Amino acid sequence: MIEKIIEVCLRNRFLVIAGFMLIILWGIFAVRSTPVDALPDIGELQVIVYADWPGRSPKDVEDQVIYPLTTNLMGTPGMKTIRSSSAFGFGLVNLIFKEGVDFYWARTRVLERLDVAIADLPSDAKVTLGPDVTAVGQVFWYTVENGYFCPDHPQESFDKPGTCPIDNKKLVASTYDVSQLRSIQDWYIRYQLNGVSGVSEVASVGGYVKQYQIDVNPNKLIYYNVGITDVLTAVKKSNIDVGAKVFEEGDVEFIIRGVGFIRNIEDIESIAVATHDGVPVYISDIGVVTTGPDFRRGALDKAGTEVTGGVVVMRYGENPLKVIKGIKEKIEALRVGLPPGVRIVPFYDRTGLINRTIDTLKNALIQEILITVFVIIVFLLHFFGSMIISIVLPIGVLIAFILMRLFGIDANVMSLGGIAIAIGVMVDAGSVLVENLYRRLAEQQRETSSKKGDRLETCIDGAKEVGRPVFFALLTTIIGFIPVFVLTGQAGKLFRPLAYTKTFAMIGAAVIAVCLMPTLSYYLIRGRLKLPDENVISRFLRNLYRPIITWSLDHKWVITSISLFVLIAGIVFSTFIKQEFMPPLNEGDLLFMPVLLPGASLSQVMEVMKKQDIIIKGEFPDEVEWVVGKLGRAETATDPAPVTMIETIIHLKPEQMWRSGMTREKLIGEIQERTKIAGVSPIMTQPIRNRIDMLATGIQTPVGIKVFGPDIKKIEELAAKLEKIVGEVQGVSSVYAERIGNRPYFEIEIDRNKIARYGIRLGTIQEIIAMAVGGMNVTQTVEGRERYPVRVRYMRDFRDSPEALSKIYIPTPRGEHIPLSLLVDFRKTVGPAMIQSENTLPYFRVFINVDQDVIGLVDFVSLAQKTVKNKIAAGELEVPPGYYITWSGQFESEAEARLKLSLVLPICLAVILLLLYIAFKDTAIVLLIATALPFSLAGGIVPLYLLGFKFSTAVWVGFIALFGVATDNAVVLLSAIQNLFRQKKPMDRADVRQTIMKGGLLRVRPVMMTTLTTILALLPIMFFTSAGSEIIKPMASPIIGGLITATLTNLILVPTLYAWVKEKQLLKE
Amino acid sequence: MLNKKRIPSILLLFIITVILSISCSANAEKLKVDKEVIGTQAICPVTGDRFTIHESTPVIQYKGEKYYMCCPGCDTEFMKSPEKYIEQMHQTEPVKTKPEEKVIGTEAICPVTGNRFTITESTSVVEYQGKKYYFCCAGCDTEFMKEPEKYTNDSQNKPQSINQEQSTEEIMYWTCSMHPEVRADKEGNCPICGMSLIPVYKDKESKGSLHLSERDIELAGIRMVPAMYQQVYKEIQAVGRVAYDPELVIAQEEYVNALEMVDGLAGLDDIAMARALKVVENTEYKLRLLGMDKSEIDMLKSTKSVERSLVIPEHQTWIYADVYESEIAWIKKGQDVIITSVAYPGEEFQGKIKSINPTLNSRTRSIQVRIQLSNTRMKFKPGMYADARIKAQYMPPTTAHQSHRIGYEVLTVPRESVLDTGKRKVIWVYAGDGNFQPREVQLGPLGVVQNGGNGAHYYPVLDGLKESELVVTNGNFLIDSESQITGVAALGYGGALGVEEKPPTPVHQH
Repeated sequence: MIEKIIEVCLRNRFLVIAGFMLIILWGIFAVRSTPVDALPDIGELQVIVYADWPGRSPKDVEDQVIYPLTTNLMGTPGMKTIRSSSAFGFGLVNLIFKEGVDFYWARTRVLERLDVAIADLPSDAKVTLGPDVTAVGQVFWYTVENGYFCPDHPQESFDKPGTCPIDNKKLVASTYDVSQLRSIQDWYIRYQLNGVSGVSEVASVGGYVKQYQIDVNPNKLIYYNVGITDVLTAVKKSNIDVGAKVFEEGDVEFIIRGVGFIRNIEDIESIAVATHDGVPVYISDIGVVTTGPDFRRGALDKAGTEVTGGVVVMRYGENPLKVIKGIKEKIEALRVGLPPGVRIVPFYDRTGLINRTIDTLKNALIQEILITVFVIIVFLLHFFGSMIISIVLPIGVLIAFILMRLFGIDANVMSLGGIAIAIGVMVDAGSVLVENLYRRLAEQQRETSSKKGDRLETCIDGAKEVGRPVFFALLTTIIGFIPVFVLTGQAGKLFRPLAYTKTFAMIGAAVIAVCLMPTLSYYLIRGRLKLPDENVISRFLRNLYRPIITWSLDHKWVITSISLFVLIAGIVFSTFIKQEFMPPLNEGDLLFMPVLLPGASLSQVMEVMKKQDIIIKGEFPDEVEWVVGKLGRAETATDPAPVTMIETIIHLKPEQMWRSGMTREKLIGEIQERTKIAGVSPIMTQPIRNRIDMLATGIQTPVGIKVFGPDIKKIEELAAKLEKIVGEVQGVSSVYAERIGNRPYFEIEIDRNKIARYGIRLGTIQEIIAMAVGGMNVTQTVEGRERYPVRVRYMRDFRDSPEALSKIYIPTPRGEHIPLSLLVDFRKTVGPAMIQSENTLPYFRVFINVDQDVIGLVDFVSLAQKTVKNKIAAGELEVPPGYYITWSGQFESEAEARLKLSLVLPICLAVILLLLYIAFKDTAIVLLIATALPFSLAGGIVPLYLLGFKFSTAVWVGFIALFGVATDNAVVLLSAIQNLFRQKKPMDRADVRQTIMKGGLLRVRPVMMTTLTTILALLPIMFFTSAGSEIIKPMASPIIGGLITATLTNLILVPTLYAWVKEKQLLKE
Repeated sequence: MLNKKRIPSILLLFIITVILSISCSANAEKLKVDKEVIGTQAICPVTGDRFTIHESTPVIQYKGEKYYMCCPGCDTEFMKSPEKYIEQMHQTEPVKTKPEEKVIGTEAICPVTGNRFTITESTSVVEYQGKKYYFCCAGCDTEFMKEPEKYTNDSQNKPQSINQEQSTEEIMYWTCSMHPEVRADKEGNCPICGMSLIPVYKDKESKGSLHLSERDIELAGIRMVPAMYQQVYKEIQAVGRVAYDPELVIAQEEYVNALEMVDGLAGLDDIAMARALKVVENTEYKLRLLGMDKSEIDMLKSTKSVERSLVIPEHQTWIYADVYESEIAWIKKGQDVIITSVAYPGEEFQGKIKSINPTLNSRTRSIQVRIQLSNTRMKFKPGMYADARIKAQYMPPTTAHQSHRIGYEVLTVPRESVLDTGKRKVIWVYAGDGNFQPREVQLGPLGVVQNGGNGAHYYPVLDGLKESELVVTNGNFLIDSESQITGVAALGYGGALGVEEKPPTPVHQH
């Protein structure tokens, strides 16, 4: 088959070259159009249903909205689990779908169900499908803030006072308040940016929404004998425009309009609520109308000044670079239309990180290619020959990109990393092939320099000769990488792109080697060709190798002992290396996340945020470029942060501007130290990572227990008991049962007997409580494009304390006004700050950290499960009916990944060995070749230990890549030796050694070449410090270390052992 | 052998030398600093400042005592009148004085609360050990005079001693500042958020109080005021309207007529008299029903002047206000009432409760109160709407542990200082030395004080607090949170908003 393809290609050389030209063009197109991001999207495929019910407690939201919603959404096709959380004023339902389900298909299914579900919900609860985004969709944040402008040229805004560049006039500061800025953001900027292609949602954050506020004086309500509900109806009915078709007048058609929208405060003031003895009672008689801020659950602060702003959420699967570019262009276009002085300033921009990461990998790829080319040139000492081999790299990478585009894989640190670790291996096939052709052509040149017509035949023969082994080697490499494909969950999401791209690159290399290289060789390998003996490098290598191999063959025991020692050393080293799931990516920007305990008021949190921002900006002038803090949530379903949580983005200056001796870790420490405020917990994380954690509501610790049950109090108790039990299991380093049941509540419990006496309905009271205390947005003004809510509420003094609440008057059917305190019981109590549930059952979590030096995760879990089971059996732990516990957490995916790897890895190795057996038909040889595997493992561990990396999935992927190539050299070497033995049967011991040495010498150049291309190509990566390198480095280091030992094994140990075997055979005979 | 004759002369010589040496040392003498005292602390007799002695500190020996000066100029100052400064230095009783003119307008730090404030003429000043201390609030000086040592010593010694303490203190366990429930017996990371755990020291916890550094106090924006005795009032809002009550006027007229009839019949006709008296009795009863009380009726009886202003306001105006059942207990005759009206925004009119109706209006569930306004210059028209704010003084229950003072003054704390979640009411009290203590208190109903401006609400304290103790009014939520985070709250007190019951965590010391 392979031979056939080679022959066909060589005979149709023009077509091949033309074909590859097309591939190159296609590849360039693919490179330009592939979506680029820093990290693969590792969030689970989830659809968020967002329920907004302003002012309601978590309990109410859970009982009346979220629970009915989840029950209705249960059983959505393709769904894996349904998680929900109810917080103050809103709730979220996260439907997690099985892998492989189409995103938009899933959303449609949810919508179908939602249609039915909404019927059961309270009418004022707004349920919407969250935007079509994933956790990492928040790509761009900006503030809308005041600036300076020249009165004569107001189009241009400046961030600092100064003079106008046009006429040198002094600049004037703009003085819009945050509610005006918010209106600009809401009605001008937001929808314009939303129109940019790829943007799913632009959410506003911070500032105040302007609101018309009708503050009613309850005393006057009584005096005029008007109920608050009357006010509500009156306002509602006084805000409408209507159309009434047309009339004709002298052939002209007039459109009739009834005009009656509220446009200003006066309009509201002159709404009549009732008539009092024939005299109308206006809103202005019973209350005060003002414009003020709407109730808010979020604020934005820039270095101590309150600002407003927005967050741009990118649609699922879009290219963030392109989206951000579009946004920036749009902002540039919008700038002209902004009021004088107002500026849109970005404060989080993913572009920087993406560019840095991609630059790192671009540099890595370019350096790798250059080094590889250099190594090839040195080894071959033939310019065109080297060029032929090297051409595999650019074209191979292009082919990889074409395939990535076809398979929908984005360019990011992982997928490009896949190509990076493939580079060194990609040239192997080509080198072998070209080397063979070169040798054949050189030989041909020597022997029959006159027969020029046979050049094509020689090429075909030469290519065919190595075609099969080359293809074979590639097959083992690809098969060796299969275990990475079977990874699932987060590991799968991270590493499958890498596995794909590496395989793509290898496939590209194979195609080029088989189709293009013979053709190019045919044209380009000309001139005076040197035989391998004449090459300086070859001679040098042989002179180096000859004494070593001779000595080794004479001292087999010594070599074997040294090898065993290396193996043991590797095992010993490995025990010192710690484990982790994934090395963290340095995102550049910092996310400072101070959190206050539940119950803190917005103003308290605001005060803390302002102080900290001023400190961060003021005390770290050399390191911090800007600092923008957000408390609470942006108005998007992708941001469920409570008011007590501050997220401050700290944008750092380039490191060379920092004070000397300052490092990232040190800076984080100092910021945390300087901003320490009593009662506030400072957490420092990174924006993307945090976003993923925020939306992943599962368990972040290696092991976790979820306690399910209908009663939250009981679950909490049960969780606390489990905490105790599990805390005593061997290997636990810490255990913590979640307690979030302590948010202050003020409850108004209505006494049914009392209200019955006055003939008041419970609903009436509740309505009045909701309206009078909480206020209610009754209607919306329509002012051109802008819309503002109109709210009715009691005046502040009549509702802002328990004392005032007790005097809310409830009208009775008889016209009495009864104070609330006569009808209800007030009590202050504590309740849940948030209710979480999974598949409709509420749960609390118990987080468990395990000391993995003492016990493995999986073993720990089975031990702990047994302990809990025994306690239940002994009656020490009572699990009431309706309650149950489940074990989950990272250990699951780790256990799953391990299980899969431990199943698939041996199978793959077995397949490789089987292939080897087919090639050699000799068990002994296959076993000999397999010795490279443990030695490469041991060799890979050493650099890990030296560089302080942990055993992460990245490292294991590195090892898997290593196993694919570790045996290649042994195959090359042993096949040569075997050939020699076939040609001439050895007669005695010396003969055996002589033949083995001869074979070794023959193959030392290609072996060293393929090894050195791989090792040297990866070497510069080890010195990278830029973004993204922290993930590639741990992956590259086992390959480098392992290849060194594997090559030494292949060149020294394997021939030695082979000699042993052969000598034994000889003795038997 | 000594010559006996020479003994007196030797003695004489000895005495002379002794006297000389004493007189020498009685003159102030400059010395060099002894090595062993370098680094220790001393109080400068001139400025009264506490400072650390270093090599070039001026030392003056006077009457055998060594005095260390904080600054180079102090020694010459001291030499001028050493007696005065020494006396000053040994003055142990703090003395109240007034602020000097030159310091008025400058800033000072209150030794009691730690607040920074501007000195005014009325700022109270206490002189103690030669140094003047300025106080931000009225209660602070008395607090200071009780235990001056506490406030003068701590601020300088504190940082050092705390550090030494911490290093030697035994670590009880490690906890996460975000998840205080997490407790580990060794260093590590939080199982939930991955933050590094912070140590909790045994000593710190056993104190049951929370210690904050000066920077902590500043950053958390903590402010304090002393608990004070003052009169607390409850403001009762009532709906009122300007009286238009012809019925009562007529009733009054009938009564007056009846009285006059009785007067006219006096001694003439017994039967008519008896009938007239019956009429008086009936009309009086009617007046009672319409809300006039005995004293008012007696007044009417003696003056015989009918209140026509109940129909048309004249020199005085009447307001009828409706008070709800639940608040009726607070209402007493003679209480001051503030009347406001939409007609005269911003104007307040003073009134007095003249009578309280004996019956409850079943339609409105309220009791009518009649309020007299005088000198309103005919501003009010009958039937006009008026808001009435009745000020009722809070009377502490006799069972209260702390007896009230003259004029029913009760111990009060500002509303902001109380953390109340229904489970318990907690006040954070400053214990000096940067320490804050949680205090569970019993409180009366929320009220306002006599001179309090708008929004100055106070709670009467029934139990749990003493006079002039400093309570935290700003930043107490943060203090409470911190106490939960560091585990201080675990000591019998769960924090106002904390977890009520903490599972005892086994603390193994490996």
